Amino acid sequence: MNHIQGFSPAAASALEKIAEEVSVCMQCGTCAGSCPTAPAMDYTPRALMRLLQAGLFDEALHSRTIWMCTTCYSCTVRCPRDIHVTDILGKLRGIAIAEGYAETAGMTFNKAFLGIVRRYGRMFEPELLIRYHLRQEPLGIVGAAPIGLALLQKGKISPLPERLPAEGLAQIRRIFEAVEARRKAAPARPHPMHEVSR
Amino acid sequence: MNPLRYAYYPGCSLTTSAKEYDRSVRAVFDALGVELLEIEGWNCCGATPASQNELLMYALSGRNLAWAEARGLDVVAPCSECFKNLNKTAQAVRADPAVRAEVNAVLGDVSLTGKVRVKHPLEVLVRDVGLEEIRRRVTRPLAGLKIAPYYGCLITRPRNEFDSPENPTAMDDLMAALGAEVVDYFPYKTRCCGGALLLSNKRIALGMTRDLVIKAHQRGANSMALACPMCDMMLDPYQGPALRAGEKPLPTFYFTQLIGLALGIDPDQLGFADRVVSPREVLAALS
Ligand code: SF4
Ligand code: SF4
Repeated sequence: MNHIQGFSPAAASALEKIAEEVSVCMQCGTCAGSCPTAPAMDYTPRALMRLLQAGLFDEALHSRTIWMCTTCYSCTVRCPRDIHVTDILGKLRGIAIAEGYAETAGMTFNKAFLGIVRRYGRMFEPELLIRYHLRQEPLGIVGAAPIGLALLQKGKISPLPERLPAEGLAQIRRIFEAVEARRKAAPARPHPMHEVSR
Repeated sequence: MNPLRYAYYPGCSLTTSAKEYDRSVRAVFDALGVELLEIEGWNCCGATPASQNELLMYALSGRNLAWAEARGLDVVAPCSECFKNLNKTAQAVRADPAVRAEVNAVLGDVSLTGKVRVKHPLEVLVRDVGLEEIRRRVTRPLAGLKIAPYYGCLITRPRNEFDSPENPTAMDDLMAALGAEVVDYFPYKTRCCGGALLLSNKRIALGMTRDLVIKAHQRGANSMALACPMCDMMLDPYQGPALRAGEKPLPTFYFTQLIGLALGIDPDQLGFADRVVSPREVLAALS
């Protein structure tokens, strides 16, 4: 029986593992003091660890914090308890997307980015910019235009995507499908640590 | 000594916005007799967005590593983001049989044993080629350049065997070996440029970049050495938008462009014309 209610079995199992890892957090605040974007977060990394310890997963997944992280790893390399704070925030982003949380700017970016990798096997920035701006601040594309033009002039933007050959593309598609299938099949573990509801 | 040979993973940025990084890495390695074999049919490592799914990041990176491992080669990856993903994958696959089995199951038709190592060009140059050898080859010392060595956040993080995550010194030593003056840029040398938030939280990202430029000026730098295409995006094309009216721009270079210059390679081959913040004045000051 799974006690992390309101989440899919895959998410509940992932959240349980995270809760286990953060259980040794001693709330020293080294992560928060090291974080370059903490002032723009609603919960500092330390406070986010506290939410997770308390089993307040829904709050954590709604937080601005997980989308304000630049993955600079300052928190991780300094944590005296060796908690992989950066990777935990990354996993929470994945869970927020999979569980259908409201789309943030960062979420739009990640989805567009990985969609392009899946289609071409490589990044194609013009499409990323267009897809991003169609969903988030359409007028932003106008602001990006002067720099886009400067880069185009210097040959630093390619007008067409560079696709992998068919065989490589098929491999990439299989990787995405296999990873998704495994995520969904994640077992709900027998001894949950937290009894919470969403 | 056996000639040095590596599998080369350029990554997406080095084919577009960071093409001068690609050109200068290849030119410098060639001049130093290090052979780079580009990984055939390489794919994107997933960059920062792949951090939301560890297995996806391992598998996307692992497909590239498998090509190198099958040929008994270690991998050189110049982009910090690619380097971090590939290196993290190699470390995890090496250390944890369960991760290895899972990654191989997802990869399907190729597989990894965990033997492959991943290196940033900085490590190859400082460790494998050696500072002595590079110093010996300098024909045009960079006297007159006062360089802020900017590592960005990912070259030595979360963990690698090669330099300190808090105060790395490899690029300091390398730039000094080229005859440049290296300013003390700690702790900003590893402070995040904000690049990952450029689209989603532009104002914050530009503020982080502006701070780096201002601190470099305060330390007496007249230029900055870079080692990452995302840092470069922020500190070259987006430096203008990051600075306020009247603030002085700071020319930035890939560290490999500077090595090439000192080794006497034709500047046209090193992509100096691709820089957005004009380097003309500072390069003219080279004595
Ligand atoms: S640095 Fe580590 S132990 Fe300290 S508050 Fe942050 S996560 Fe907890
Ligand atoms: S990795 Fe994220 S949470 Fe950690 S210090 Fe950097 S921005 Fe802050």
